[in-house]
Amino acid sequence: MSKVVIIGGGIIGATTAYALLGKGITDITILERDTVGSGGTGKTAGIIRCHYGVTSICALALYSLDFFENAKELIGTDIEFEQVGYLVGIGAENLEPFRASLANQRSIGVETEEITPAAAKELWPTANVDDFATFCLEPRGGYGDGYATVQGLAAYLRTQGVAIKQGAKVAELIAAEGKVSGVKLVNGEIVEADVVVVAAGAWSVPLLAPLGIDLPITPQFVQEVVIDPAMELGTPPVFSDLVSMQYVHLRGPELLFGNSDGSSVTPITDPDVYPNHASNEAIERTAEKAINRFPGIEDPGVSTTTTGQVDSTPDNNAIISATDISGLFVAAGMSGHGFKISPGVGRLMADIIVEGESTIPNVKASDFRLSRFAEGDLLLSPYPYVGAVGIR
Amino acid sequence: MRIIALVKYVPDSGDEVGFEADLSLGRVGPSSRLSELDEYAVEQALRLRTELAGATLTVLSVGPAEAESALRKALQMGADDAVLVTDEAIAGSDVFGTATVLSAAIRSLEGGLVVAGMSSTDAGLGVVPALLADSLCWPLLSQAAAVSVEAGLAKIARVDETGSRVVEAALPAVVSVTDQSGEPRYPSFKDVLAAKKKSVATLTLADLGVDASAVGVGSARVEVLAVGRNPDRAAGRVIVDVDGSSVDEIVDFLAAATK
Repeated sequence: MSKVVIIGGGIIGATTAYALLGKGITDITILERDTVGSGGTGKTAGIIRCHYGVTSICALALYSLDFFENAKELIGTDIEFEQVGYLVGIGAENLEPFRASLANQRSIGVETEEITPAAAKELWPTANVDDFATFCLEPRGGYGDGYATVQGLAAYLRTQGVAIKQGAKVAELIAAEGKVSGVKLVNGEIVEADVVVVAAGAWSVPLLAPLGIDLPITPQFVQEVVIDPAMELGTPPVFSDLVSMQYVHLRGPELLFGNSDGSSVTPITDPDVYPNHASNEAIERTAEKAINRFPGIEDPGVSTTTTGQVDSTPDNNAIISATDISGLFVAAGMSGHGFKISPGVGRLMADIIVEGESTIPNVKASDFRLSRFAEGDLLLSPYPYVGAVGIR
Repeated sequence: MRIIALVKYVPDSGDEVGFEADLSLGRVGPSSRLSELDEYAVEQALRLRTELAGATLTVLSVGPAEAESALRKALQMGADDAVLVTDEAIAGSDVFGTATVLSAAIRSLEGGLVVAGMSSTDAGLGVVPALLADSLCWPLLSQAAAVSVEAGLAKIARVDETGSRVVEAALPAVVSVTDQSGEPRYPSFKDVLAAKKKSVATLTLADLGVDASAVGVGSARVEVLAVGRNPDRAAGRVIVDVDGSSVDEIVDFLAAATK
């Protein structure tokens, strides 16, 4: 039976192990350099939605929704999915791609409907909706908790015999004659394996480089601002505002604001070195956008800020792929939208390892192949939005 | 009256400690920020500014150009204006040099009340308020857990392990406040947007009439001879118990360790 080592105890490593268990593979070891969920997973805004232009990604998100909705039965833990819905508002310049994307989403089974600005205003009474052409509402969307989800998964995986080693930092992959045979930890310990899955976000790059595998992943610094609205807001849906280019959702009684115009996302050289608080400029930008968009929130203040880094690829889409080395696979480069598709990513990775192809409806494994970058065949939405980062 | 709150731009406690070529502590780390203890000074100064008719609040810092971001943070909290004293010649100053520059700036700004934090979060000496009061020939009310100003008198409560005492002094005075003085406010978005329109004034030693030879690494009374890491801790010894054998081994170990 295959012995599998997964490098990275984040949501991608955990969902990959979960999907492999589903295929009857049980000899699985997850090696995590720090603690489960301590990388990007613990920092995700946690938005859950299927609003994607690329069919394969939309289908991954749709597959993932089933997991998020049924996690309690599947893994026995409440993962704190707040299914408040997902609202997208766009300006007139994006009407055409928006409607085309919605039609495509519906064609593969996503529940999403166009609603008027007046209807959106009822969901978000504090918002100014005058500058939107239209909205859509995805009632099954919402936001989850990356940390709770990965901890719940890890607890389940342990009950199924998966070994999760924390504080186990991999120094190098061991491969010879085009075949992987295991990994060596920084403490010198060697863990043998028939299959190695590298699911270590931006930290995957230096692991694969010595084998001649160039992952086009750049860590990008991301800043989010949490505001105290100083008023009761009810339970409005996650709001993707593609006019002001921001996303907003509740987090407890507070509101998390992120910027989606790309201006506050900056490349960094070391995924471990970046500020632990948002810059004054990022706070100013958030304040301006928030005050303009939410005049009904009378006296909002900065509660705290969060920062992190996302492992971005040139097309802002994931690499879920075999490599030229037999037994070596990669699931990385989530580009800041990995959480919402993570159960699907794990399943697809397991499909590629076991079947060599996708078994998820409407998902083409080849869309996520590593070689697409060298081939210049990027995975881009056929319905791109003007002014927005290409993750929809 | 102009209230002046002193703020320092420091590395975040989570940043790896770095040193400059002259072995002074590096100030610009990835998460460098307004010293958290100084946020308490800004908070108390903001409150006093609101309480005292006609008062304004200036935040003042001595540091590298990057220190502007610490002042901007204080402006976002609601300070009226900000002054950064920055000059190559100041680099490497010890606390005496820092106090010399600050006192010249406070005189120049005609401050009537100085509010400082209890110490910096990097060097952590906590003596600048005292040196400053000495240099200005002003009274010092230090380590205040509460501060009020009324009829030209500053009054503080100082709380320590022996109890609480109330001390007062006539203005102008230097007050340092502790982290028990009241949680610093979160900036409101209105203040954040107002701060965007404000500028940070920069002053040099020449602007303040301070002789460069009085500050900087050359005049520092403290000289850093060397910096080094603590040695890594050696691996512990694992005592394996075989039918109670560990008891004697542990006793022997403790006896040897306490000799």
